[in-house]
Amino acid sequence: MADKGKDKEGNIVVKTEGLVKFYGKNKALNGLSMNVPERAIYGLVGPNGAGKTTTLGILSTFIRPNSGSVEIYGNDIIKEPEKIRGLIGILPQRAEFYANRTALDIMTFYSKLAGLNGKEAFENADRLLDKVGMTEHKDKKMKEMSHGMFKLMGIAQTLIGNPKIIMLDEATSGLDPKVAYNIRKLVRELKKDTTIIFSSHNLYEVEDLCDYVGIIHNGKIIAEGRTKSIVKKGKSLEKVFMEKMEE
Amino acid sequence: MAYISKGVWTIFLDEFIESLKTRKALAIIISYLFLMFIGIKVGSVFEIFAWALAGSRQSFSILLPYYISVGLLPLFSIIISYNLISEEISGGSIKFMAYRTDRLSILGGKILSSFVLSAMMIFIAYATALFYVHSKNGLWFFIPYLVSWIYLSIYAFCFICLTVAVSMVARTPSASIIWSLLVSILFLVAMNFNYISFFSPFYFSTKALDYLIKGISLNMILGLNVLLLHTLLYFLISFAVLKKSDLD
Repeated sequence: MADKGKDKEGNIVVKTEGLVKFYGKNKALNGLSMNVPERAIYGLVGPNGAGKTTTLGILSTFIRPNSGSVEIYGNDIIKEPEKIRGLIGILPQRAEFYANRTALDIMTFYSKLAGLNGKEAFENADRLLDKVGMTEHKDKKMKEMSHGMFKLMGIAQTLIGNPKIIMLDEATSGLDPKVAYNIRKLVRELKKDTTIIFSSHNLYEVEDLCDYVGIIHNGKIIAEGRTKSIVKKGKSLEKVFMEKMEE
Repeated sequence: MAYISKGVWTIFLDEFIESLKTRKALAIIISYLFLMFIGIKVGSVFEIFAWALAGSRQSFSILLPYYISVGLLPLFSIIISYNLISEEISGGSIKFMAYRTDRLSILGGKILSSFVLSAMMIFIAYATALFYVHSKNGLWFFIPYLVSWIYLSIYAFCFICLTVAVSMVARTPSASIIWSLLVSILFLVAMNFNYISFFSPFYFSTKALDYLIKGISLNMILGLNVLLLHTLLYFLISFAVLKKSDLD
């Protein structure tokens, strides 16, 4: 494990230690520990079923771990979940928007839930949809939208309430190259004021986009650190990843 | 507390407005109003027979709508609320709310919207009945209709909470509606057994009749309290399950 504690990018703002999660007899997380520095793009990579979505689920207060600890900006996720909720935005891998409602309507509702009043919520929704390039589609119903627009809408809703940490679970999977490129561009822009945890299967994308990377396998982080320090001596992240899988 | 109440209010308002736009809610409201109107019309025609029945001080215009409601409201409550939470969980949309507010607010707001929708529907039916009966027979049934409205609204609320509690365990909308209907049938069957019948909300469904027919309010107050107790129990079960559930 490299680059623990204080870091050039900033303080460690997400810290997990020894996370364990069981689904029945299946151990999804097996003592996972990770450290995410402030204002970094942290790539979480691993094979299917490695525990990426479960980790993000725990960080988002959706899933309770069986044991272990999580601190986000010094707040304990079990004891102070309401404080955590004010700090995060998440695009879950498996979550649908209301099919019969428009993007603007849904965004206004989530803005109200985040504490804004009617007019503020509407203006905020409009501004955020504009920010992700969905102005033309804001009055479309979700059932009329493409997969790419759905993901952009997903990112737009993570920005409500100016979160300090944004988690994107497979944000670019299944997208055409142009939309995927736009999302990566957007993520780079967001990095200026936000910490981003970016889970992906696409190792080339993670290598290109992320300042830090955590390789997860069998519910554990098996390598973590600056992308540059993990990918060294002319190797690609893919090569390192394959080597780690075989160890 | 303010955090919870703001969340409840936001979700309630959104859910209520959205539910009014659905065909399902409109179909239920229209069906209920139509059947109630038939009941009131028939009741006012046969008004005279009520006076001949054991000196009953109340009329068919009160009893018939009440019996129709007792029969229909459990079914309508199930149809209104079976997918209230289960659809959010199975589709994953609950996650977008769950990291913005607490789960108590989500549950409270959604259940409240169904309760208000049912209470509003029953109110419209009885308000229409009040003026219709007055125009036909010159009678004002203000108090009996007010009592019927309050009692039946709580009765519907009880079945809404029961359905949500069942759906929390069933998780998917299709399983929720099947299990809610099965549990309701079980409660109906339980009416045939002396002590078990106390655990069935159906047993307390007609307790308001003691007041409407005989003018005795004690049984009605007892029935209302037990229905509220059932409602609270189902709500707490729903909340406990939702709080402990992983949204994966």
